[in-house]
Amino acid sequence: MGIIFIGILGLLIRRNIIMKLLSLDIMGTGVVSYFVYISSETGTVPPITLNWNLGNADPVPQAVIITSIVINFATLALAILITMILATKALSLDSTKLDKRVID
Amino acid sequence: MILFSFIYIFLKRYSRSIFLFQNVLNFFIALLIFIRKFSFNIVLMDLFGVHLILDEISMYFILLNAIVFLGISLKGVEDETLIFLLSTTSFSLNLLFLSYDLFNLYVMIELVSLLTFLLIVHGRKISQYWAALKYIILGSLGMNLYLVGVAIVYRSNYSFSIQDVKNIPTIALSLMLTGVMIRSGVFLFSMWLPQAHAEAETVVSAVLSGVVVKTGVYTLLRLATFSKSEHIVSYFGAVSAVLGVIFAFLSDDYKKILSYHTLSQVGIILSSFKTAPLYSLAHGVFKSWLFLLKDDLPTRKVSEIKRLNFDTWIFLILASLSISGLPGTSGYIKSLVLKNVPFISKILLEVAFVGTCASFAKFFFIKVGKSKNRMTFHHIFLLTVSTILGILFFDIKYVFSSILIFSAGIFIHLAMYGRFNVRKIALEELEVSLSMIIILTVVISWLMFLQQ
Repeated sequence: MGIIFIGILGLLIRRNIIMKLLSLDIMGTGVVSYFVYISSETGTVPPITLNWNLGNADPVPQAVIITSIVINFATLALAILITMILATKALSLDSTKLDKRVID
Repeated sequence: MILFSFIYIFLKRYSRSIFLFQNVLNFFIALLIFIRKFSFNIVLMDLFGVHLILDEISMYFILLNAIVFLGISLKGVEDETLIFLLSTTSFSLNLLFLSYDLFNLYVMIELVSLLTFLLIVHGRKISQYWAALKYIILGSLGMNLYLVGVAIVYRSNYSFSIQDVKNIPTIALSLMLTGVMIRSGVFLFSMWLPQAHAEAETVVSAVLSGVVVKTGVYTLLRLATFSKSEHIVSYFGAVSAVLGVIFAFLSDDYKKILSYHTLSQVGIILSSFKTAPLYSLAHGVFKSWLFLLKDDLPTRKVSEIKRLNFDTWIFLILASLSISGLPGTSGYIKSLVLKNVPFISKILLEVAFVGTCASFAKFFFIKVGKSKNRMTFHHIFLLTVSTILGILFFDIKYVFSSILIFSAGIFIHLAMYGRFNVRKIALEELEVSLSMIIILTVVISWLMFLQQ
């Protein structure tokens, strides 16, 4: 949970878009770790076995969160691409400056 | 339908007619489903698998999706990349409106939002890039909050099914609600929306306002049916309806007006959950119609439009009447909404309806020019759908009050129009909206806690 808060904090404090995206990534990693933590609550032994015991990790959250990792990756890749284009076209990566320029 | 999307890549030459054919097919399938009340409920692959459902609620959304896309393809899209993106979006929206478990909803919303992102930047302007980037930053923040909520749900009852949302910790529910409300276009939550919808290409804005916003509405509906959050969401909706309409009245840009109206109309949709699917169908029809009309206007600045061709004028008037909700048009479904809301939000909604009429009254005073006979199938199609909806859900009781609201709107327009003008709002800036979302997350969790 701590990592998620660091991510939110970074999102709020930094004005630079690259930094914002980085914080978003940190936040995503926090969410992923939270899912992994939940799956380890029942145990930490990998569930590659036919007879199911109490000590095994819960495979469902792990299986499900892989999708989210991929989605995060795709989102980040697209966002960074757009940031590159913005940097070359608008010559600025400061969010407040960009807001002023675009609206005016 | 995914097959169709891939056919485009190989058959670039015929893609326009294939797009039309695909959407006609989609429309008839949706209509068949709607008329025959066809329904299913399947779980793919065991206990934790993908849960798909087709019922009363998803039916309306699927029909809406089909109508909007058929309207767009009747108008005709030139660019091949755009056609490919649009058809993929149409397919994934159909799948989204069928999905019924928390994680599948998350995946589909993210897929649609990535496609939306690509659609927004299609015009390659700086403002579009910036609007899209804002959208993706705020949207990912929201979806991360949603995921944390889903994780807490899983931890407490070991399933992703929506039926189990009943007995979960309030913090999980409030996180999920905030995450989805950022996507769905409620005022204060999704302030990225006016800029993104106004800057995108016309066809894209029609899709965004018509259908993509409804993804959030659909998810909220699904979540709120099984939890006690209905009241909180509906009050936020009523407030959003009023605030959105105020900004719509004050702005001068045609597309900006429409996007603020999207905020306000989503508020109206959310203020009553019983009629939400029906009203979102109506809203999708007239909002995409209004956006498609933008291409026929000479300029985006409303105050500079002095004279219009007869055919453009008549459709603009009819569409404005639809959104103002006169009897016989699709906007008249608002009477059903009013029947189902508590007293406080009823007053707020009446104010919002008067404001809607007031901000669209400026189109009634535009002069008419000569007729230019052009083929406008998409306008005729959307007009037919709007009228059919209006006649199907006609209710004699509210005729008088709706006419009263309409004339009040025109009166306000005559009294106040042109006195005030707002070009930019601080709420739309990235920093402000980020901090707003964090504050609102806390507020919603607090409200949920109080309600318990």
